[in-house]
Amino acid sequence: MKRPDVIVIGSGGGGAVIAKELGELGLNVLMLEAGPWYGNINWPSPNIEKGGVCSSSPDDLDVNLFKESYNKLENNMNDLIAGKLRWGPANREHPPWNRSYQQRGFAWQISGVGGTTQHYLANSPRAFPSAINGKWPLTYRELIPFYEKVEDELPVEFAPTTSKEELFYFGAKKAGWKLINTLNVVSPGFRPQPNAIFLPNANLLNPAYSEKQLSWMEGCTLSGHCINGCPHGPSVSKIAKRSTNVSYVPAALNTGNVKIQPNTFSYQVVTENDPKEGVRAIGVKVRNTWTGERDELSADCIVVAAGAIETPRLWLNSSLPYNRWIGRGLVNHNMDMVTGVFNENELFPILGSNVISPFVGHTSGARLDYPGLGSIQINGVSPGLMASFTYAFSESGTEKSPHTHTSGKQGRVTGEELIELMADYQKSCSILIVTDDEVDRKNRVSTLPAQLDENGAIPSIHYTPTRMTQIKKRKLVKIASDILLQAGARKVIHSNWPSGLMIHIMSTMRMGYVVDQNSESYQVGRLFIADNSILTNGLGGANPTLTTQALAVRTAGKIYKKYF
Amino acid sequence: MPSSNSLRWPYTTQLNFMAIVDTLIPSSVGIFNSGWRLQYGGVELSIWEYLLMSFDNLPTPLSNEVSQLLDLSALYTKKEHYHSPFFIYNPHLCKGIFSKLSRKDRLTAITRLDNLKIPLDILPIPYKNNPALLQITIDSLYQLTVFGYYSEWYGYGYTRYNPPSFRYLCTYPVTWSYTGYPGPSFAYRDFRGFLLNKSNLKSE
Repeated sequence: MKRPDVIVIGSGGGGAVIAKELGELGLNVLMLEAGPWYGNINWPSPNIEKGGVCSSSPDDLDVNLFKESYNKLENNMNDLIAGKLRWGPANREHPPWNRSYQQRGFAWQISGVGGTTQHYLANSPRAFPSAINGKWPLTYRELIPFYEKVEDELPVEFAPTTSKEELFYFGAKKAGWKLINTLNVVSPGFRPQPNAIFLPNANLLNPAYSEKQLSWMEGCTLSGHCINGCPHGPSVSKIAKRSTNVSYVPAALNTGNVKIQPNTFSYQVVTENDPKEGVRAIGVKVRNTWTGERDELSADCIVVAAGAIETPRLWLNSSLPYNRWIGRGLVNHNMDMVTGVFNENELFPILGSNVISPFVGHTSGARLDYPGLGSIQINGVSPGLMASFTYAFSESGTEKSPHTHTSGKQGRVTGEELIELMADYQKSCSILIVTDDEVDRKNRVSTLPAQLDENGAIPSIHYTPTRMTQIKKRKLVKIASDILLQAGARKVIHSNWPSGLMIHIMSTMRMGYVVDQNSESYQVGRLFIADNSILTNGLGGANPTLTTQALAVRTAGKIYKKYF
Repeated sequence: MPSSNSLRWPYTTQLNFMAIVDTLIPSSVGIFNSGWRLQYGGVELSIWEYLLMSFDNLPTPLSNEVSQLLDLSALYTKKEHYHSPFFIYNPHLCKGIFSKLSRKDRLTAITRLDNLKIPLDILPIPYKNNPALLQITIDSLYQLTVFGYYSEWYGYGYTRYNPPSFRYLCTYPVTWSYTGYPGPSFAYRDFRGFLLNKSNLKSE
């Protein structure tokens, strides 16, 4: 193949965006992806046989194949060990890729074209301005045009109201919170989630269309499968939830300048010492996940978008120059879950229905933001995920906790109590706690030379929340419990998740420390980063994807201007 | 009962995994105005096999090591119970003793591991002196059991022994009826309008 101008490592939330932007600028781009590609005719059985090598045409996208893969069954899709949406090679008979955790918890990431956006909830808020200004090398104002471009192209829309959002708004209002009518959050309040999900199908309430017919039309059908992988729409590029494999990837292919190579794990960045430019990136060493064949690819610029765990791992395993912030400053929003269980007679006056049915609508369609503390977000997932994250995952253990108060309970639930709570699944709704997590250099991704897999030393993850982060989390838990109680919950369960649960994984290659304000490495020329690792901090508690995407757009322009 | 497909695991490992699942989700009887209903537990719905397969699909298969952890913790639980001054752990003689405990004692034994109330230097590799991995494993026992139970796992019927890409729903996942989950859907018509839309944002 023709030598690419730019190689992008990773096709997730950031990689796919920068590939499309560079392609639009006329550059020749090769995007490498470690995992499978669902919905492309070159890989008709993406988990069973190795299929083709790469794809560069939008005509290769096939919505029938896509729907066949994304079958909405949670065990098949979401199982972290052998599911389709996991961190591992395409062949599900092989184990997932290993990580070493120095505390309880795990990282919930996905390999494959689209990366972790395949299961993300598409929540696309902007950062809180107070988390950017004075703390980043950029100002919030500088980010706005890039936010607007991404919001327009995905697109981002305010989530429609279904029962669980209605209940959340009711409780929030009763608890004294105000609606905030803005994308730029400077004061506390609740609002619908700005989600990268198409508006609901205009015929959703028209009985002339069957539900199946609706699922083949453009627009969200409120089917509730965001987290299981949304398959609804008339073509791959018109799937309702705008994971990058259905938004930026088709747009990248449409430029005619982007080639995507899945099943390709990048394990080393190749550099040289140029007499004029100094140390600079010139290529990537890769390994095919089906055959084990190795190859070396070269380009004029390298963009790493492998995610906030693999990007520092790649740096360390490539023996790139020392920087005291490589892998350091990891934040994860120190998440938690609070769940309310309701009685029918309390629900009916609010909803006109005896149930909430948390599996209906956007998986998360409403939020409350509190600059300085973080945010809380309504959450309704399929029952296996609900049981496992709400009732089976806790730092408090299974015994009754001393923190238990009359209206609530903390910790895991088992036996008959679990059976009873899950029998009330339809009358339950959860709130996710997303904390404004303070950066601490001690929290990090490093590598352990003694622990190797086929791609080199594996990442080791250390995370302990700071005292300030813990205080903020407790305040948010209280706010969420209060909203549920105000809405009439008869019981509130605080899961008390282990702090090491990694869902929003950020700030391990921070802008201003490892990369400059154009996302180029301070120490290795022509090496750019375009994932959550460059976020200087946790954005105050806003979900990271949109900001990473806005930065990826900005970085593409900088690369073009500086090197082409 | 265990089928021939289960023969790949030592019998005592199978017993211990059945015992975990039975501790966390036993079968139960629900009483309603209309009568009573038996709710199958995790053992009847083969969740212990899901658990075994999951632990053996990790980068390092761990089902036998997990079974050993449970036996060790069971011994400590017993020892405390009877204030026994003698304590000799023989991994061959003690295999499967976790499964012989009462449900209450099994939960105590699991909790003992969770709380690291066991000498970490006597644990089998890779758990030896590795408290984080031990706690992650206990978390996984809980999470995988309930995820398997409340997901569609049981519906895979005889295809559950197949590699993941060759499993098909052959029967109704009965646990969906325990939660009221209707299964995958094409659409729901519970549209209640918009609280905000982009066109009515305050000018900024």
